Amino acid sequence: MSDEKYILQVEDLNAVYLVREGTIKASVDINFEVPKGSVMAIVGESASGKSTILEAITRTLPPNGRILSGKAIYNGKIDLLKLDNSKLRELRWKEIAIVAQAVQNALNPTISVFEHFVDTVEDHNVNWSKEEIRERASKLLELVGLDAPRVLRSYPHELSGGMRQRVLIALSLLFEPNLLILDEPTSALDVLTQARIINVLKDVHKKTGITVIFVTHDLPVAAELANYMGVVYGGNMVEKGETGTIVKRPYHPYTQALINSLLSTVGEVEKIKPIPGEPPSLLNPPSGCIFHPRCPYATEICKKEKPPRIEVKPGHFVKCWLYK
Amino acid sequence: MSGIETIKSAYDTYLRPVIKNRKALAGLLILTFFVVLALIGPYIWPLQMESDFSKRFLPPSREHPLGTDYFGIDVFRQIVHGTRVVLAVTFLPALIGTILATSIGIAAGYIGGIPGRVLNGIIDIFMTIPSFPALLLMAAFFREANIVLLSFIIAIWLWAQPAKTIAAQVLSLRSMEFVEAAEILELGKFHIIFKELMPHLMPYIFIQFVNMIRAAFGASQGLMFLGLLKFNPTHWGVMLNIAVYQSGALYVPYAIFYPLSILVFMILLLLGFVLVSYGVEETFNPRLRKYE
Amino acid sequence: MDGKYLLKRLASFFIFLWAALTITFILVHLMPGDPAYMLAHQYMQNYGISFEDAYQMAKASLSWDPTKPLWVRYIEYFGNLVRGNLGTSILYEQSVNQIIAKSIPWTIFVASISLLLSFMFGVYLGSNAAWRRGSKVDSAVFFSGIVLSSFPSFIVAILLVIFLGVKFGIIPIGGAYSEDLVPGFNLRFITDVLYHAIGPIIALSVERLAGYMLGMRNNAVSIIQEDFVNFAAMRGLKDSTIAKKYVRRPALLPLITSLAISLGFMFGGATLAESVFRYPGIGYQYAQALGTRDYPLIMGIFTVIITAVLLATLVVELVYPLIDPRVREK
Repeated sequence: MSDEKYILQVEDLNAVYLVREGTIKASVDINFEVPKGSVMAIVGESASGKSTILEAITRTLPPNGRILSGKAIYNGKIDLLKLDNSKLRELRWKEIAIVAQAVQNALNPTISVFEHFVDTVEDHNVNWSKEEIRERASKLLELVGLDAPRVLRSYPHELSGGMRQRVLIALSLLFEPNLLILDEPTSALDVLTQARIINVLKDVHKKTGITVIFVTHDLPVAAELANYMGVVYGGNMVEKGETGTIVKRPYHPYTQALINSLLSTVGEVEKIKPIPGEPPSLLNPPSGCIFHPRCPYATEICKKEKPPRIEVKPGHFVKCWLYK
Repeated sequence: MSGIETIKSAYDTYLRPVIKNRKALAGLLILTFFVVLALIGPYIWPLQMESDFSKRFLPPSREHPLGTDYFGIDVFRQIVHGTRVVLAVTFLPALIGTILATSIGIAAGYIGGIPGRVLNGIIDIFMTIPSFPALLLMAAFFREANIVLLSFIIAIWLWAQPAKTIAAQVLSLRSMEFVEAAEILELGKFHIIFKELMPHLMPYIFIQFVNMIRAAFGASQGLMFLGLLKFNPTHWGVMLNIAVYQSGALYVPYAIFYPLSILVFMILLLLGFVLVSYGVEETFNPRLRKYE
Repeated sequence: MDGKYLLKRLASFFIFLWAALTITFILVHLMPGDPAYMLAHQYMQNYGISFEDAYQMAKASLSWDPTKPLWVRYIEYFGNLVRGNLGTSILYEQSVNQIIAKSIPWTIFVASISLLLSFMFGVYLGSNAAWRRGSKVDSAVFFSGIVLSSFPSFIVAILLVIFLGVKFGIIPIGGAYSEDLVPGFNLRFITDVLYHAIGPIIALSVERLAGYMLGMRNNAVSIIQEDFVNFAAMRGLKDSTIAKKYVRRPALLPLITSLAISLGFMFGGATLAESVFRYPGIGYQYAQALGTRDYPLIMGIFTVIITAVLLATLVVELVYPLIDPRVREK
């Protein structure tokens, strides 16, 4: 089912972490497609397994992580999960760039920002001279709103969190990749810097038409940036579709509760309802539908069997027995 | 918490995880062997100190498992008997040193202003004075020493570095919210130190204690080996001094079992300390833990 | 680097030096027994002179006048120190400065080679072990590191003498060079010197090698878990680049500090190994001086050792910011 209009198609992805007590089922039957040129947000609470999806796709799981099954088809042709290491390394950064979550520590503290660019270029067998690297790096840094000459010769600890995040974004665009993957691009930052980063990302997307996938727990950020959203709960992607639909007319009970629990500047305080109960244990997940213990509409079948993936509108999928 | 509960929780927090670590377990086994040897060895194999020069430098035999020394005295019994002193002069300085390091370290880290800086300065000075030469200096000026005095002398040159580590920890803990909260509530300095800070400090104190044991061992053996003051003649370092410097056993080929036996015991005990030391560090230092 | 930092460091150097020397002074005076009295007795025995004469001699060779009150002695002591006068040795009847000057080169020779070798090998093995974590190489390195840690310098020294020296005669067991040779820059003398240095160098290196091996391994292991290493891999950097720039370099930096500081402490640490081999370095002299209660020599060597340590620390404080960007002050 390979289709060239999608930059990425994830099929039946299952990934776990091995721990002393058993296995953590962090990604369960994940399916989604990302059209070229769009922005997709994967949204979920902390420890919902949303980062695991990224780790699995990019093959950056920690040593105790395992991909049990699934495919991640890039550009309609290559299954990222089955690629061998050397080809993967070539793809990395040239076509698929990943910006990590831990902004504080993503840069090597013992080398300058410029040297990061140089390292990346040299290890990809690209024949740019040092001056050319400097020129391109400067342009990218300006694209993200930084003072290029100063930043290039700085060391990571001399830059603020927001600046470092922007350096990472600039670095990711070095080879004009087709796909940019970001893990929590705004989480560790203060509100003002967040706004800046969001603008930078919008800008970059507009100017380059690059496809972006990002993971966040911040629904408003997702809503502002993304064309498509995938909502993750307890390792399952319970709903996926266009942002507009999800925000205005969510299908899955969890998504509904999520939207309702957000502060709205217009709505009344009574309408805000936090979701009762606690997030599920990924070590011993509940039977049947992952959300049934907290779902106000749960029925018998929800407790016993996992809901199938149902297309309620063209391109909009929900995993819920309500829509069978 | 009742007494039994405290002991049990201490066991769970400190002893159990350490035992799980293979290195520490191996080290503890070795150490237990030596402790048992120290406790009951001298009763099973009492010391026989009559010299008989005709029996000098005998090789190992059934009667003398490790041979005899310059005076014809059984080596094995001397070593067994000396285990007690060796262990004492290793643990006692470590204990004293830990008390010193903890008290001065916490004070240096917690008290601010000029007294705090003075304390830190004192720690720094003791850190820069090289401990072994200083220890030798002090020891040489005392003609002889008993275990307690010696332990103090050694402890003085052990406490500085651990104190600095502890002070640094206290400093970083101090700026954390729970301490600030306790201070705002005016819970009293002692309460803060013992109830709030100590639980976080215990792993570090424990690690330092174990490291100090190892250092005290090296220092005491080295000190005795140089023969600078009179001490119990069955202490292994003293035995080695006699073997190497006073009886020329090193240069007599058939006498090698004598110094060799002493060395073997030293290496073994030190290995025990090293294993426990690394095991403890691995257990309490989260960065070194292996993935499950 | 700006002048203010330099000044601050220099100031603290001198303050520490003063404090350490003062403590030394206090230590010596707190110890039981009056040094002048004991010296006098020594002289009496050595030279068969009267107590009064011996006492005069003792006064002359000490850095202070024992008949004066404490604070006057203190000033005299420092006065002498500042002038570089460390007194006269009882044992050798030469000025302490001379003895130190003769012995320091040997210690520097042996200790620096030992430091260098153990550092280079230790770091290399340690970083390889960390890179291949969990493999046989890692286990081997770790295991040997622990075992070697149980072999302090004097134990290695004695073992070397027993097995390589006496039994098999491979290495010489005493002195810095054979007595029948005349010192000079000829090949025969130099090889003889190297030959005699093997024992002390190995004795000093075993424990250090273990230390650097395990230290580097631990550093590298925790650095490998750092996010920037992960990110480097995500950028598609080659393994060799990551190993070199992203793991080894950050892991190495703290070790370099300890290496530099070891340079200062090496003077004191060589005492045991040198004593076993009767290698005429400053450690050996120190042990000899202590044994014969040669106070001027003891004090002199100790002073030199302290100064060396403080100097090394000063150098580290000045040079380290140049190599580790994280430590630079603005």
